[in-house]
Amino acid sequence: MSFEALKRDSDKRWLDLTTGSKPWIRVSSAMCCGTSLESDSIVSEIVNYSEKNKIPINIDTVGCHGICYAGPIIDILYKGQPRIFWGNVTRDNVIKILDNYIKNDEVLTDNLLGTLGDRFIKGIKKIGDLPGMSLQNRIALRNSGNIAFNDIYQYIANGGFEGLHKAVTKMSSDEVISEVKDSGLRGRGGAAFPTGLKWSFMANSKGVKYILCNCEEGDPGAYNDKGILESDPYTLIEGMAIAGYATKSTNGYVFIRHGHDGPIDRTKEAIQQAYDNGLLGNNIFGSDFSFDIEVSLTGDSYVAGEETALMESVEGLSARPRSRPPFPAAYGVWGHPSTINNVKSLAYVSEIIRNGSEWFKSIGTESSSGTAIVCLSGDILHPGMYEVEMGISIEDVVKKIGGGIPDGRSLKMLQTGGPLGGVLGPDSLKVKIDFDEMAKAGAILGSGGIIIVDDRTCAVDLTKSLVAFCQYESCGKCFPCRLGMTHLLEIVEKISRGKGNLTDLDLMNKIGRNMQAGSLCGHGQLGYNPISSALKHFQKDFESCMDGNCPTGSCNERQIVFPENTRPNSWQTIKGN
Amino acid sequence: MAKKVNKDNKIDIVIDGKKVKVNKDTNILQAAMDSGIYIPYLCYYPGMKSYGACRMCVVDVEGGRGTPASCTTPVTEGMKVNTQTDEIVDLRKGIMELLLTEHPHGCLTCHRIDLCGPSDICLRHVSVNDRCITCPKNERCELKDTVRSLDMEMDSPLSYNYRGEHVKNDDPLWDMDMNLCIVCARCVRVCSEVRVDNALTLKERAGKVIIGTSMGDSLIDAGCEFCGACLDVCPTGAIVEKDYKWEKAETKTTSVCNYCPVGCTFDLETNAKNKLIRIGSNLQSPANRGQACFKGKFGFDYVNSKFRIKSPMIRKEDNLVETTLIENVDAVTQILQDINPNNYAMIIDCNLTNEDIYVANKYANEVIGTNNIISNADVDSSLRYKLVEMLGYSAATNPIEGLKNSKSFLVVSANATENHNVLTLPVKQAIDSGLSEMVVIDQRETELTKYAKLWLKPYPGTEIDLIGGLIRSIIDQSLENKNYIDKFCNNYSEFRKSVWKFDLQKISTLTGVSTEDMNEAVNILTNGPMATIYSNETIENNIDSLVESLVNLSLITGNIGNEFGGLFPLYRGSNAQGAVDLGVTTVYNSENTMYKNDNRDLSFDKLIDLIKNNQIEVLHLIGDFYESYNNKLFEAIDLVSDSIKVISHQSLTSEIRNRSNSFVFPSTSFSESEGTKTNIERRIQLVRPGMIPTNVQIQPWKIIQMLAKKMNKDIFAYNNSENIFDEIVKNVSVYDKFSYKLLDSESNVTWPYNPNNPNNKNVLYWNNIANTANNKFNFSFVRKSENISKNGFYLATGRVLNKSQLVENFDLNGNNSESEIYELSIHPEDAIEHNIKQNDKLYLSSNGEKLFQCIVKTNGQIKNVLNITTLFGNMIKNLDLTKADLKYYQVPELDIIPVDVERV
Repeated sequence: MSFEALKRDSDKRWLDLTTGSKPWIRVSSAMCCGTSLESDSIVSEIVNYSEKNKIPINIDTVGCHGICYAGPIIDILYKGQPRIFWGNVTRDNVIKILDNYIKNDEVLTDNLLGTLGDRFIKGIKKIGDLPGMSLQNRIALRNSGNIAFNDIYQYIANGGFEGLHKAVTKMSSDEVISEVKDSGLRGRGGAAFPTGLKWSFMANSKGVKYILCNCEEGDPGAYNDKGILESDPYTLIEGMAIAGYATKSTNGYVFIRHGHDGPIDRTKEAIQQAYDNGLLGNNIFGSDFSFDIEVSLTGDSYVAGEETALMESVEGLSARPRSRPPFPAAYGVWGHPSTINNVKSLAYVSEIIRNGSEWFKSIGTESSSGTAIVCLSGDILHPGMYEVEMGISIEDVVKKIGGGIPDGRSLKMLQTGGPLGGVLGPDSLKVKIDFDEMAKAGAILGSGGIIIVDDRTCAVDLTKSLVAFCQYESCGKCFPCRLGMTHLLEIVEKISRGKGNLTDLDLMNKIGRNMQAGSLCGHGQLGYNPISSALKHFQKDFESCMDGNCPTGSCNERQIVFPENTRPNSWQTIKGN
Repeated sequence: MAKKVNKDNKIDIVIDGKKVKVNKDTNILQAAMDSGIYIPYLCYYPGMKSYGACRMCVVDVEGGRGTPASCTTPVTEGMKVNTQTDEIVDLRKGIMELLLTEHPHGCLTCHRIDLCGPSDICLRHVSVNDRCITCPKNERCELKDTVRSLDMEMDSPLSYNYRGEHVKNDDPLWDMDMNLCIVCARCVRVCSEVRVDNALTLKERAGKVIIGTSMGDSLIDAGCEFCGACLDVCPTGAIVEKDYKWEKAETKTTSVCNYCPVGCTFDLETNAKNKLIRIGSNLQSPANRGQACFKGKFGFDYVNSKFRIKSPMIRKEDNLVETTLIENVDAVTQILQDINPNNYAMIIDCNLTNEDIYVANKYANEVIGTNNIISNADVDSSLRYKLVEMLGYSAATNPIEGLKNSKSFLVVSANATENHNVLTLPVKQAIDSGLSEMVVIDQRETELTKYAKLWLKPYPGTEIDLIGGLIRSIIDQSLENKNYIDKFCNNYSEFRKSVWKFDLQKISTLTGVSTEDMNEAVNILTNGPMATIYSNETIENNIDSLVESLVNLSLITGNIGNEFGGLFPLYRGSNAQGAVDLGVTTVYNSENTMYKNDNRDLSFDKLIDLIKNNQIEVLHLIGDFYESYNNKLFEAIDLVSDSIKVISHQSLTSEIRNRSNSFVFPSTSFSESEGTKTNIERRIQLVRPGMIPTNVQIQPWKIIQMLAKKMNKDIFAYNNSENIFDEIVKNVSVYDKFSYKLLDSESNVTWPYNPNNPNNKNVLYWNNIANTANNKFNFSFVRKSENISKNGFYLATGRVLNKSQLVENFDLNGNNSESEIYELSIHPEDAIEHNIKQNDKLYLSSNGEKLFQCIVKTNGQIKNVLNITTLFGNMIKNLDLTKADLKYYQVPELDIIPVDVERV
């Protein structure tokens, strides 16, 4: 089937869904809605209802709306009315909502979130006015919550694969690379390296080449990669295929952490559908471009997200970083040139090609174009996954989108960009979400996770958690990281028990500097960041903890169980007494 | 291409202000080492890939970012490197300080370390397990050297943390003390990169990371080949040998191994008491690049044995009694003076040096005037006859190193990983790299069959037909190298005609190998340079014809005289090539060998027959004859011990020899001898004495010279072994232009040596010039096997490294019993024919002698062949427990023998 025919077919299906006689019910089902909040059982409840009452319906499970505080969310599109959303739906109240709306045209106001569409219903606010929704500009997440994650036709009907079609049929590889270069797209994995430039390193080598997509995403507090794969895996597949075309690559691997069944299963299904429709495989769109994508899984390892460790892992070895040079573009997976991109970076690509680089460049700031997907968690009113334009201040994100700190508490610490990103104080609220601005402030945007911590937590306590994570996740290859992290953890733990003294700070500083200068990969080089940034903003907390007076008492009350035996056989589990 | 090519591949870089010329493709650390500049390092090891973990070798590159590890940074033209800036030195010390918190280091940073004795009271109150003096690697510890070079401060605020791991000493041959491990992963990398065994691995991660075997298996089960490479690379005392664990080396001498013709060179380490305590790795060794095998690395202790002969002995009234050297020489001379040369015979052990062999041969020829001279190297002459006939020389054609770049391998009836271990390393590496493929023809499951792309299992004795079938398939598919055949070979058209008698269908029926497999084998073998490795470990059925077929196969594919092809006959004896070169076997290399045997028909076996038939009165045995294939000689002597007089030069007492010996001269063992040996690559290597022999332990040639002098022959006037070698060079044409001086200075030369053409890459027949009448290789008719009766069973025993390939041996009652019950594979059709069922219990017997019990599995793949596969590690364990001095010379071979089966 030609792409035009596929598109026609998809549009027809979409028209049936949106304007047909049956109500179209969409139930959100990503990580939190799906597994934790049992939206699966809501779906079966609805199906039962429809069968029992002989009411024909269209029902789809869709991905993440981002507003986690309201999940699970269902919405109904029926009889030319706008989409009406209800949040915090449970098995018990879903039938009541449906029954009233479908049979009686009555919109239940309990759990009602709002409407979406050109038309509106009097007395019901629009969903765009909800906290968290108003400041968003959803590009990578454009389809999240709108299309079924397992129906490629809904994706195509919404402009899907037009970018790939345009690239393969109308553009040369070099044109695609320069389009991406012009858009100013920078890698969303943490290093913010220009994506187009990265691809151009690959363009000249011949033979087997790989595009690797990194969805290891081990940062606590970051879930946007998984969110994209659970809501709209097709955008990643399209982006990877475009990257493959631009770099003349032959194979792609989507690298997902083992155990994340949602993203894994949904991506695999989406890849299969793409193959079935001729959008992957040999001679895509009748051209001589052939591209294959496979899903590859890691073990439980944070460092597997480091690009060279990821390559080792794809090869079936344990995830330990390689030394560079040689760089992946010259010597990657099985010795072949490879490029590694984050899920988010690739998710933008199809829209950039479809709408042109100028459009993308116009969004965001001069140096950081486009949007950022931030994940808010911790002591905040509205935790969730939000796509905001670059240039928005952290304050707006925390207060306007996140709804601020609950219970009348005040903000004490912000932890951005994963545990290696370090800790910020309240004075950094004015900092803008922008790669360069945040770097200037001593933080990284990284994966986009922002953990908000209120004044009940001691900085030493938070630091201890972060260092324990970094220590446990060290791969153990290079000496400075393997040994340094263990010592740093022991010292921080000592301080939190009130046994530390001021010389410990110098000692930590020395170990930290050596780790920074000596380590093989970013994990060790940045491994001192949680401590150094905490010391920069909250040295007082450390000093009082050394005297045995934890300023908030959290060091005393929380029992952090460390991973047992940080050293072989000897080190006993430490209790925070 | 007008671009100027840098001829010597060297570039200039500046290290610490010193301008040095270094190899283009190297890294900073290696470049500095080559230029004599020391950069501390712990995880790097020359010859292995850079790892970049210890970060001890960090340097400052001007204009570069940060402090890169020098081992992972390639050199570039004009690069300026500083290795000793304050920043760098501090960083190294900082990392070392961290490292020392997990390695006992009380002594490492102590100023008294050089003064301190084993039982001194420690002034620093350092606990026992924190002291260097209690470490087996004390004084040979790389970590200690590195700490010293860094000039570490004495006290660190970081606390030392003893891991408290149990020392693992359940495995044979070496102990592992993980409390001393610094996790540099050298052992893991040498095991996977160089040895391709992957027995060791990094377990866990972060602070818990430690060396071990996967799933915590014992080394025996983990696929360890007990080569000891991990011991050699370990920078601390974490992995150390059990024998002589605590000994310190007093002297180190580079010499040649005494086990097989690969001719590994290594360092003999002796202690102050003149005992050989260790075989040290020598990275400059040309044949083995610092590697060894379980025999060479661990089987040396017999030279220290209490069973060494301490005095000359003479038989008096049925007893061997001690005598003096002079008396013994007199007595022997008395007997030899008037002997009829036809009643005298000399047998020379092929583990002796060229010098010993030469002088012994000359003595028998010139002084006694006999033709009854043979070396036991002759047992493998069947591997060689056809080489001389068809190619010109009796030798392997290529260097071992070349195997690394061969595209395909054909291994025929050779258990090479055990008998010629180091030769298989480049083979395993090439296959592991994914660029090469291997075809193995063998009935037994050996370690190499695991690496084989295709494992062909012909009926025993039909290997010849199978090779013939392969040749036919090549011709059918027009895959022969026509250009090569036209230019460099004789007799092709006759040969081609002789191939027509091989019908693939018939061959398939005869051998049991399908035609598809034969065609696939041909496709593998014609896919680039093919190296052929073959031996005679099959049923004795015309090995000559097999070799003939293999040479034909090599010629038709154009693999003789090229860099990465060649033929490797795997014969036995560490200097068997020398014995052949010097003309003491039935096959020989130089037509102008001066002291060659005129009686060319006298083979080792025929001489044994002469002995049995009482035709020999005096038998002169030169050497120890350690290997078990010599047993038939001593059994023959034992039969006639009453009537034969045996003059023996030997270093170790042997019970069977004591029964018949009339005169015994104590001899030097390999570690005390001096001279040269020629290895399988035709590389003549210097044998240097690591141990000092006692006054009466005298190398055979010296005694023989005394005997000759006594008999008033003044043709012997050698002051040292160099004199003898110079005479050899004059008389043996293939050794032309060699001298001790050359061997000492240039180790990478093989015969024939041509100083004017150093670019022959040590390949025999370089440029495809044969050593025959018209300098062309001779094709020979292909033969078929003689009629093979397919009655009765053959037992083919295999041995592999890895447990996963084996079903665990269990005992019939389900208990742990002393005797192992083997699992026996039988072909399903045979099983039906003999009414044998799955899980039946059988006895196997050979010549009426009961061998062992086994349990039947009907999954065999060769008709009339029974297969048993055992675990290599178990054999090592058994060897380790055996008390015999020469246990490593008598590793049970994997013979294919006819057997009878009998129900329990």
